[in-house]
Amino acid sequence: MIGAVLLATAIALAPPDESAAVFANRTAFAEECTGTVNTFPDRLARQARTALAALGWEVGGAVGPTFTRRSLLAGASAAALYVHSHGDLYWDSKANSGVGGFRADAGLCLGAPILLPSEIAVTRRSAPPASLVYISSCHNGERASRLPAAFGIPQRKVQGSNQPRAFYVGYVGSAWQGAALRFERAFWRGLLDGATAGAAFDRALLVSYELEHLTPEWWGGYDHTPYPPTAGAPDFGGRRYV
Amino acid sequence: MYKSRWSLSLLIGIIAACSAPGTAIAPSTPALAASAGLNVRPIMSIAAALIAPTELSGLIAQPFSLVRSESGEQRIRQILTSADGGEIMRVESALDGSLRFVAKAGVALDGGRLSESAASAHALRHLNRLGLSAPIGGPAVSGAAGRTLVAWSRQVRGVPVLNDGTRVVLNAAGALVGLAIEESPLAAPPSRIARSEAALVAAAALLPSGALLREGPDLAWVLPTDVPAGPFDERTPRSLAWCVTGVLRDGAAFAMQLDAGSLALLGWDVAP
Repeated sequence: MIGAVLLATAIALAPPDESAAVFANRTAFAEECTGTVNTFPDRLARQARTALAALGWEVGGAVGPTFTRRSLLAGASAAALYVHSHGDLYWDSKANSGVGGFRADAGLCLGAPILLPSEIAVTRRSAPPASLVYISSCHNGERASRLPAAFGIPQRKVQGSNQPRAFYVGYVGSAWQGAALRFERAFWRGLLDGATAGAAFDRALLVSYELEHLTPEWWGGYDHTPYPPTAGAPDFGGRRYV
Repeated sequence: MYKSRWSLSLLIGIIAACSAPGTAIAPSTPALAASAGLNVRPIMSIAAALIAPTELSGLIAQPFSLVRSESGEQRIRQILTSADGGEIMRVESALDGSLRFVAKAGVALDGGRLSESAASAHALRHLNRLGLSAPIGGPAVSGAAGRTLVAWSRQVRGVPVLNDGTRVVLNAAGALVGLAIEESPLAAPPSRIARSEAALVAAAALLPSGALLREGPDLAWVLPTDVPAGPFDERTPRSLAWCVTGVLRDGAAFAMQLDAGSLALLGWDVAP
């Protein structure tokens, strides 16, 4: 509860176009739910949070039980968003089809609330397209997922002129956490090296992750650099790595 | 040993001396490296094999730097930029000069898709053009985000070293996006390897309630992916492990790694 209030306050204080939010589902992967220790959600969220902060964003969000439907919908208006959770092409009765989405944490092993693209789109109705959206879950890199559109990002890959100032990353099919950790670390490192989002993605394809365990996908502008509008190119002070 | 340490010290000193602003004229990397007893192929000569001569003019080789790869290998990194500072290409070499990593930025996203045989042929051609020997065996070919990935896995005495080997990334026209060669250090194998039947029993005993085993056990060299004691550093030598896969009670796939000798739990991975 306190976490949700703090998150809402932080998001309210930071201008939406300067704010980023990082959410990770810890409970569904925790020992009390699966019988095994799993540190991946915290490590993935830490990587994302560190990188986004170094890029100049004001980072909020929630990891663990405070990642609820309400906190996510409050954070979904941020210009940069990272989510790690269970994902699938969940059924949307309004669309009468599987449309993508992901589960909140909410402190539940099973049956946590599902966040659908249509709900996020409503929250973001008056917001400009997000600068960077990274959905680290299964299935939300598939064309059937409507999450990119919910954030105002067209499902196109654009190089050259008229590139969207937006970049979306998701995974096709099942996404193993071990492979995601390596790929995402390389992607963030690329951005921190000053690479464009597309070049950082290309470079991350070269890192040693099990190919059968991860099929990354992106949409948006290849040459987009996801920095907050007032930050310009960030000064990393010689520190290059997450 | 003494000579190599002295050479490394000299190299680090040179790198420190070259830590000039980005606008500095690039030092002659080969000459500097040669004076440090290292054999580094200049990035311009690598670029010449991959970029049209007309596009090479005006590109600037930045001062090189000494970095560590994820597997802990010391490498020399060279970066080629355009006049406005945008990165065009980066190259990493091992200290013995062998090429380990090439990444080009902005390679065109052509439509279409390469067949597996065409992708393999393009990948081998790029390796050959860069003076790299063809990896042994047939590659695995897959696609991601409009790119084609051609990967040869590394094997040691018939046992795969997971995530190691040679990877070549191509665009749909077969142009090189990048290549990476990884050879992680290996830990000493156990003096006695447990039988696969015993590994299966040990894995079954460690299963969470409601989980089912589906495949394995198979031997592999692995970097444990997640452990109760906390994450392993990427530089940790790979351990010989019995690997099994299955599904948790919520339907999520999991992989479990057991020490090939003691059958103790080494690592754990999940597909959410």
